[in-house]
Amino acid sequence: MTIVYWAFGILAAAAVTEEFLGWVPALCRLVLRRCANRLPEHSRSRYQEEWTAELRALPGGPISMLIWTGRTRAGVRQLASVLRQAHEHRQTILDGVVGQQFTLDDFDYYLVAGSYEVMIDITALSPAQALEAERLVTAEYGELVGVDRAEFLEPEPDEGIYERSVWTTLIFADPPTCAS
Amino acid sequence: MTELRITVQVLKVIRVFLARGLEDRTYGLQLMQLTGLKSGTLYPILARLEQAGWIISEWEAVKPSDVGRPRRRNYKLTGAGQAAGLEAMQEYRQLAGPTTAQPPRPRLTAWGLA
Repeated sequence: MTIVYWAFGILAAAAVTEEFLGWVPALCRLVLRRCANRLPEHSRSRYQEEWTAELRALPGGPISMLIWTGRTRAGVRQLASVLRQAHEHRQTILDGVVGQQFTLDDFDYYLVAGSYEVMIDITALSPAQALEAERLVTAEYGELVGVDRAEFLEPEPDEGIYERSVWTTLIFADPPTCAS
Repeated sequence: MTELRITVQVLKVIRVFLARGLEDRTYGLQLMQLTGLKSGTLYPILARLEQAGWIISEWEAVKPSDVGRPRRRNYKLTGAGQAAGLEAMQEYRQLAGPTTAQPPRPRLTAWGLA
């Protein structure tokens, strides 16, 4: 009888293990989504997509996925702190905006005077149009050393819908001082 | 641009970017393999490098349906990052000092040959 119990136990354990391992990718994606939700709002969708793509490309099996997800989770607090500080830094610059709004072709952008940053408002444009807008502004201001794109959903007043928006900050080697 | 605190881990990442040059793009998983850093360490470093303007990141320009996988986030060194990275590596080498110390020679007297 004991042998039967043992055999049953082994079979049950194998079935539970197989079931668990089958759920690991979904579990990891859930954990990564929760990790992304701990980041500042403007970075969430970016990191969630980036991590999910990396999870799929990860060599190895479910155990590697779990380890990788655990390690990513361990760094989320630090990542959130870095992103938050950068956001506050940018906000400080934006608070000091004295530049006017400019229009180049079909889109508006704001020059942040006294800084190395030109912030372009390219809300509601397609990614291709956003890239074209960046190209035009870059041609205006010279050597580009950094790009920061943030995508988020923006509520449309009175319509109860959300519209995808893209905000881009271009960082130049020299402070932009002239307007188009 | 924000200031960047240079640590040994940051230098490991910078070294990989410098070796690959300005045109080469790389993604997180590849960087983990090349630097030996864990994901929890690497992503905050990449974010710091990006905020400092040393690297830029952008989505891979592929259609997921064509390549059969989600698009990746690619990272690329900037001109400013290359200059600052080389400077940081040089400073580190100076601080670390010469690494050409010779191993001690065997004492010939011990073998009765002196």
